[in-house]
Amino acid sequence: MAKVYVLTSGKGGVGKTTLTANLGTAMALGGERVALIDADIGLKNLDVVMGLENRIIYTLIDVANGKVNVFDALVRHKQIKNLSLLPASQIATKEMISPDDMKRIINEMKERFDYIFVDCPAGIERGFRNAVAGAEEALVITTPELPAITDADRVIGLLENMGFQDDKIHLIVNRFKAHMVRHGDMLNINDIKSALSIEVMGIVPDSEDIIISTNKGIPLVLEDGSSANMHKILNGIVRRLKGEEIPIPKLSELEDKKGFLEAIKSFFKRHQSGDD
Amino acid sequence: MGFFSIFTRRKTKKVETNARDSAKERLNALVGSGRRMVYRIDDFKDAKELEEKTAEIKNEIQKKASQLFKTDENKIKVVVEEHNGYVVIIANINFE
Repeated sequence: MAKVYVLTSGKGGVGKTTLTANLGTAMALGGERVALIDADIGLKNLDVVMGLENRIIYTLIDVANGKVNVFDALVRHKQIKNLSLLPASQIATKEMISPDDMKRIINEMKERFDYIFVDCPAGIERGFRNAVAGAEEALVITTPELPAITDADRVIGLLENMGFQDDKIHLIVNRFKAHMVRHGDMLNINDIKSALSIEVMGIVPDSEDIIISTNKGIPLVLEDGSSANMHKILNGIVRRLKGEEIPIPKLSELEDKKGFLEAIKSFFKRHQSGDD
Repeated sequence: MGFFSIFTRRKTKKVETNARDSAKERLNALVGSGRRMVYRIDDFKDAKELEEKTAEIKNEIQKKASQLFKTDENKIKVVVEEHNGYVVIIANINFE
C-alpha cells in the first residue's frame, strides 16, 4: 500500500512542482514504485517539468468523471518504468473535481504503488482541499522569505484543522541561500523552524541547475552533469521520507563548492549564450 | 579634493539594520512562536447530527438543481466545506 504525500505551500512559486518531480524521480530511481499526481487543474505544470507533456491522453478530470480507469490515464516515464504521472487538465477548473473524487482515485492507485506524491496548487481554496483529501502526510514547502513563511503557517494551521497530526506535517525549505544567512541577510533554519513549530524534513539550496533541468524537461536527479551536491541533498530527503535517520545538512554542506577549473568552465558557459 | 571626498562619504554612511533581525522580528509579529489555534467543526458540534443535516442539504440542492437544469441527479456533485467558521457549499453540475 502506497504512502501518500501532498506537497503544499499556500504561496505560489516556491518550488512545489519542481520538488514533486525531483523527489518522485529520486524515489523511483531507488527502486520504489512511484506515482505523481498533478492536482493543479487549470494551471498544470508537472508534466512539463517531467518532460511528459506530449504523452498525455487522459487526465485526472477524465478519471473523476468516470470516462476512463485511473490506470489508463497514467503516463509512464520514458526512462524510469516504475515512475508514472497522473496529469491534470489545462482546460478544466479545480471546481470540477471534489475531495471525495480525489480520495477514491488515490485509494484505487494505492495498491499498485509504494509512494504517491500529490502536487498541490497554490492557495487554500478548492484545489488545496482536493489535493490534501487523499494524503496521509504533508510536505509544506517554503522559501526563506516572510510571505512564503506566513502562508506556510496558515497552511499548517489548515492541515491541523483537517486532522493531520503534528508528526505528519513536515517542512522543506527551498531556495536556501547559505551565503546570505552567513552575512545576516536571510532568516536561518532555526528562525523558520521556531516560527512554524514543525520538524524540518529538508533544506534545498538555490540552484541554477534546477532552472536548466526544468527547461530541458528532465528532473535534476536524472541529469548526470548537474550538481552532485543537489543530488545528495535531494536523495537525503528521499531517504528521510523512507524513514531513515539522515542528519539535516549543515550550512557549509548546502553550498556548492566548485573547484577553480569548474568555476571558470561555468563562467564561460554562462557567457556563451551572448545575452550579456 | 575629489580623492579625499571618497573617505568622507564613507564616514557618513548610515548603519543599516541587519535584514535577518528585521525579518525575525516581523515574522514573530506575524506568526508568533506559540502553537496555532485549531478549531475543528466537529469539536463543538454533534458530529452525527452535522452529518445528517449535511446529507439533507446536499440532497435538497441536488433535487432543485436537477429540476432547474434538467439533468440527472447523479451528475450533480455537492460538497459542503467549512472555511474559518463559514460554511461553503459548492455544487458541480456536469452538463456533458
